[in-house]
Amino acid sequence: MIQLSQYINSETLHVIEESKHDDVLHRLISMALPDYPQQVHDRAFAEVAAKGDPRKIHLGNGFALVHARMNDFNQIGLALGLFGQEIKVFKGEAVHTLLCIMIPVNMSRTYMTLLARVSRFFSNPEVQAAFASADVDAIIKHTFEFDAV
Amino acid sequence: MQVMIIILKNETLLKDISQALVECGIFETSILDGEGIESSVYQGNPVFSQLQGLFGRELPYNRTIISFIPEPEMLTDFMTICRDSKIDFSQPDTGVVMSFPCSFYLGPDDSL
Repeated sequence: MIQLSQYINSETLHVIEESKHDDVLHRLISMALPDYPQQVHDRAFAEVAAKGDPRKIHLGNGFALVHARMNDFNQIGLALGLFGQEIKVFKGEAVHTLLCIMIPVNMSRTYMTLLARVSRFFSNPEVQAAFASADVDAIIKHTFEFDAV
Repeated sequence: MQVMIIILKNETLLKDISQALVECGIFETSILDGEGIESSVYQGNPVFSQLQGLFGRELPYNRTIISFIPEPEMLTDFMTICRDSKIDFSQPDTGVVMSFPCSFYLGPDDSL
């Protein structure tokens, strides 16, 4: 089974100061794809920022995600932006956490498995509270506990 | 390799079970509409249809879920998630789950 701590850890959790839509996306994409050149970041930004609901999803309970499927990378890249409060990054409900997920075209099933696991993780009220308050240590603790079951 | 069959009586659990299957990476799955044997025998036989009226039971429809499970730990993980999600197959109105060995599987390479 996918270990969530592989994707949610001190390297992927980022407290975000920015609140403007484009600034937030640029920051998270660069953190989700740290080993890739700026051209790839720019293409990912264009993909995510394109108008259309499928790329931006509200998950409920203050969580939302943006994602892009591309050929430019061969592993799933993920970054979680923690706002510490609920803000309106894009249309719809205000969110306290924004996931940015970059998916290689040939890893759709792995992505679905990851999303199912993340959804169940986020359904825990204690986890929701940790993310809402941007408490990185608590989030990491909950992640390890979730993987240990 | 194994095949798992779930006869799910409580259809409200279908969404959670489907999500659990996906979480475990179990994708080769088909979900069928089914009905219990009681439903079938009530309809075909005037004696049993009288019994149905006497007991006032609703016709037992269900969802039958058939899954191919490539690795044994996937089944263990699935049952763990069901337990954590309070899906209890020991309860009378939930359903049953069973698995048996699969000696042959053929499908596209990317299905595994």
